[in-house]
Amino acid sequence: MKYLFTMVLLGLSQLCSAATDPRLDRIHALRLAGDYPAAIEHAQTELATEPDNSQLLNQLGELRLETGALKTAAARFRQALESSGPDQLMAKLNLAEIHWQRGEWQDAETLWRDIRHAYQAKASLSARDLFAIAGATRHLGRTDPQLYKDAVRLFDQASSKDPAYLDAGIALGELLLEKYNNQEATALFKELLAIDNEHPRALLGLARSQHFDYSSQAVTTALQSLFINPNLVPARVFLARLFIELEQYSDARHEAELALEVNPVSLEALTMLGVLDHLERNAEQFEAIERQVMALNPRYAEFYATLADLAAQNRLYRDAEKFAQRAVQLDPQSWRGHGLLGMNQLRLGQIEAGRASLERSFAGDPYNVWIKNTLQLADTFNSYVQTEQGNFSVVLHGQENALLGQYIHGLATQAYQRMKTRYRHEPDQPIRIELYPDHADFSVRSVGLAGVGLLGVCFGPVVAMDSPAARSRGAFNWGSTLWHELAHVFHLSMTDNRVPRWFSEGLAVYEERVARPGWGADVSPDFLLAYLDGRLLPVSQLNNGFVRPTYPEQVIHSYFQASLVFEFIEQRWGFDVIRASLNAYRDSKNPDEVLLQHLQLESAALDAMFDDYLKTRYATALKALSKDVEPGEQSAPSQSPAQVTVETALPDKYFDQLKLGQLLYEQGNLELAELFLQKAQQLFPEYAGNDSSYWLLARLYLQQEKYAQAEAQLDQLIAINAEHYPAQLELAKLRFKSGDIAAAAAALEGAVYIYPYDLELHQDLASYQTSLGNWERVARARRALLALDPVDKAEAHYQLAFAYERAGNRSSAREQILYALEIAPNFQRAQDLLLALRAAEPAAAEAQ
Amino acid sequence: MKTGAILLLWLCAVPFAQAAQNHLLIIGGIGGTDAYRELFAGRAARMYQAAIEAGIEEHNITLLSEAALPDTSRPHRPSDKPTILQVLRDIGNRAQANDRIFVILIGHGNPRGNNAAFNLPGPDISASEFAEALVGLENQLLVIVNTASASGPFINALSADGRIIITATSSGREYYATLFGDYFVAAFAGGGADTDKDERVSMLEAFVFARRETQRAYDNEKQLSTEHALLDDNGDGEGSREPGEFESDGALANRVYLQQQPTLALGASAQLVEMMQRKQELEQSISDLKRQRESLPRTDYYARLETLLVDLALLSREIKAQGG
Repeated sequence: MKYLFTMVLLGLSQLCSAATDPRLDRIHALRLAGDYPAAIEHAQTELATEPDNSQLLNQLGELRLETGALKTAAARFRQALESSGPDQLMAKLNLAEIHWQRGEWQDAETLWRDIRHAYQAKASLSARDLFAIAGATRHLGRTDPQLYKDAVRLFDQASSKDPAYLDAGIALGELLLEKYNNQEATALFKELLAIDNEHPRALLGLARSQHFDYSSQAVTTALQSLFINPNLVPARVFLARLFIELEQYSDARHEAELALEVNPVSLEALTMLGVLDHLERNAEQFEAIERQVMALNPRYAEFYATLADLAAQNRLYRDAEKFAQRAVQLDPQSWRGHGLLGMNQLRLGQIEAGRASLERSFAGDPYNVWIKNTLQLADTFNSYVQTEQGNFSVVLHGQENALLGQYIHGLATQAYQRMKTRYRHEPDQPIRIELYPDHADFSVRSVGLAGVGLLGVCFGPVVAMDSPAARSRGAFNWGSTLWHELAHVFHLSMTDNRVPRWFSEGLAVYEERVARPGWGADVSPDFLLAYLDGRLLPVSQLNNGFVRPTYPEQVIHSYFQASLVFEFIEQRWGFDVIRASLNAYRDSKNPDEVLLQHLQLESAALDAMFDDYLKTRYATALKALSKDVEPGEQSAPSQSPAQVTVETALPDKYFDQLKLGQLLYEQGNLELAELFLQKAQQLFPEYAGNDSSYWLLARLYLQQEKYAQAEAQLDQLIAINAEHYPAQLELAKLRFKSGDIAAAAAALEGAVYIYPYDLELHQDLASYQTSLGNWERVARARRALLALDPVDKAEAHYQLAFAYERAGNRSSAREQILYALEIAPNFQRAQDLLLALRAAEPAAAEAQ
Repeated sequence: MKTGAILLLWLCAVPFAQAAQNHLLIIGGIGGTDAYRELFAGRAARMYQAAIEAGIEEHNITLLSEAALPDTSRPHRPSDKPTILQVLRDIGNRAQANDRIFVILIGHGNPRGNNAAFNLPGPDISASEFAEALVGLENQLLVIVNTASASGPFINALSADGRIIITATSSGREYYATLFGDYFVAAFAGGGADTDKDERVSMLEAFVFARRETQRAYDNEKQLSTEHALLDDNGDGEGSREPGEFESDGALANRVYLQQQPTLALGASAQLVEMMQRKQELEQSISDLKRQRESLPRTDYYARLETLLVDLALLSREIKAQGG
């Protein structure tokens, strides 16, 4: 099989290369197929008859270089340089590469500058000459980023000079990708693959492009590359990296080890082993690898930069910062190192230091779009207000600070106290909470690019999230999102960021649900249909649902499923088991076993027990859904509404009952609609989404003026799904109408955590709290109204002054009343209050 | 400073003069659909009621609409072009010099080159036709409020000294249905627009209220605003988006109210007149102090402000007690 590929590649090589020496073509073909021993043998045989052939010497040297025999390789390149044949510039470039790999930068740089001079000095330049000049220029771009543009032009010239010389195109694609121009890189790799669809390095280039675009196709393409050349070290290293990102550490280690079998001194492959030893907490092995890498190249900053990069991807931000510091200490021109340092400093709340690091990085590599975006975001930080209070440092946009600040401090403090008790732990530093009114800014803060589909992120001591202004009205509950992220702060702090993703995410969703009725994710028909289809993962594999989703909704399903696992565990074993597991993750080398050990269960047993729990918890709904497991058929009911009567009996199928009820409701047949919607509710009482029976029945009862029944429906809806903004508002009205003002106020307080920018909401809330005599709450609502910049500011200041006066806060009342009268000096009610406040002063002084 | 003193005397003199009359013409345009017919009818009816409550004599209010309004007992008068022109002539014949004429257009509009038209049952009325209809009303203060889409060109066509022109949009290119009219009517029919708390809503206050609330409505829905209201009251034909008492536009609109001007009884005592003058002096002192706000230490500023405000509050009580 392998031989067949070699022959095919040989044919292609002859087709595609302008080189006319069949000996070189044959060696090249064997090299492309990864048959390095045969290629070396051929080269040596040919050299025996022609020892001064510089091209053969270069080929042999390159083969030695790729298989890690650096000393022998260097000797061949020097021989090539001493000969008078062609390919002198390539020999120099190769020799410089060896110096570079050994950390002998001065020697490498001297050679690169020599090579660049040839561009002016040599009268005629071959494609390989141009390639060598381009390669040298690319390296020199490190100190002068403008040279990258020269390198692109030179690679392009080399490619034009000899279109069959694919190495030039591949190097150009790699450079474009390195400089973040993936669109052109992808197009180029595809063009090259149209010429030779089995070129392993072109396939690897395409895989890297796909990875750049977060495409899961990257693994398949990398494997295609290795199918053609199983000894392609960069492909093995790339695959190892992909497996690390997917948390498939044993597969990653296997790939790195295979790479090292080909090239035992591959710095990149050794780096992957170092990353794995770090992530798997093999301290001794890590130190051994570190020593080995530093012995091979004492200035190899990429070792630490890569460690920093992958540590951050595994949420080990402190480690990432530490490694990035090492990278820039080792090589002050490691722009990647400075960038990683800056990003992780920002993640740890070191804003000024982070910004300075990013500026250093960007000065050296002005093409990095992540750094550019983040620096642009940092430029807006002066529009934000930072407030230190208790355990928190809250950063809000100036336009939102007055409104959101008062809610955030209160809610965050509640969450902190609650979790401090539950987890018996306190984070060791103040928590920084940042809210962004523009989703693109939050996205850049999270990942450096716009477009991330998250609501919040937790970096450890730093939480960043969308403010409610970043999304459309009612799109999410920012209060429960903040609660969720604060739960992560505790989880990460307790485990030194070593908690598995599924555990932390599931527990954080569960904490939301425990915090307040209706908060956190809820069960949906879609989730239960996925269960019935067998698409949900067992607990033992739940982490895959987060890091390796196989269908579009799997991440969302996994969040909810994981939260149910913790609900189940707390009910069955108590919260101590969860807390103990968190404490154990910090030092565990085998995170998969931690929870099982505390539960004293085998993995299969936990999977089976949870499955039973889920089946029991949703028994009714599962039965009703199991009869119509085809979600595509939900759009139309099986029975025509025109034929329906009170006597009509439909099977106990949830969607049939719901859809028929909905249609009848839309047609105005409220009496019949009610019957079917009630039946749907009986069949799936746990579901309270926007398209659920609760909301439909509430609207139906409102139309029928059956207010008590409408209120009951909304009560139940909100108890399950407190994110439903219109339901919260409607419920407040109904509760007010029925005289339960405290409950009406509670509904509006809940609505504030969904959409706090509604003037009427705060006006009603102030009014309700006034009726209840809760003057502190009235003042809060009045402050919110003022923060919303009403047209009638004098009235807003007056009302706030009034609330303060009633709450006994006379100094604030006096301050506010002056503001009111400053705007409207003849405002009679304000004048009366001012005189009353002044009149009360001597009495108050006397009382003291 | 000199101008300020003259203005003060003028303002002081006005309450004793014969009160000018306010005339209001409300024109409800063609709705096109039931939803808009209902919307425009509702706005017109609310405006009518607010005018009554503002003290405009009922015989000085004319309401023209596409169809009869359900909640008014007055006979229906259609809002076609001939009727509009006739009503404007009638008002012109009836109005005295210094009277104030308010015309409020509620409906749809559309651009016509550099011009624009307000849509009516039958032929529409263009901005230039409207301008012609106002010839002869130079002795009255005119307030024209066009709340329709594409109403911007009405400013260029109608602008003149002694006129306040308000449009819902900045140009004919803003031709989507507007929200501005709803909030403009709410400024008089609801609360929240009387920002200086003198218990009257000036045209400037109504404009600012409607503009701000319109923008808030778009912001709440996270939509780009498709209307940008303008006010012109200096006769230069250029509307301002943010007029103000001390801006190029807004000074006149700040002094013009839909409500009938309050008058001081002719037989008021000399003591009351003196107190009223003292009140105006205090108001002026507060206004002067506010101009120094940025140059004074904060505590000093508010201490001085409080002293003046307390004096004003006590004086206002006395005036009220004296029946002022």
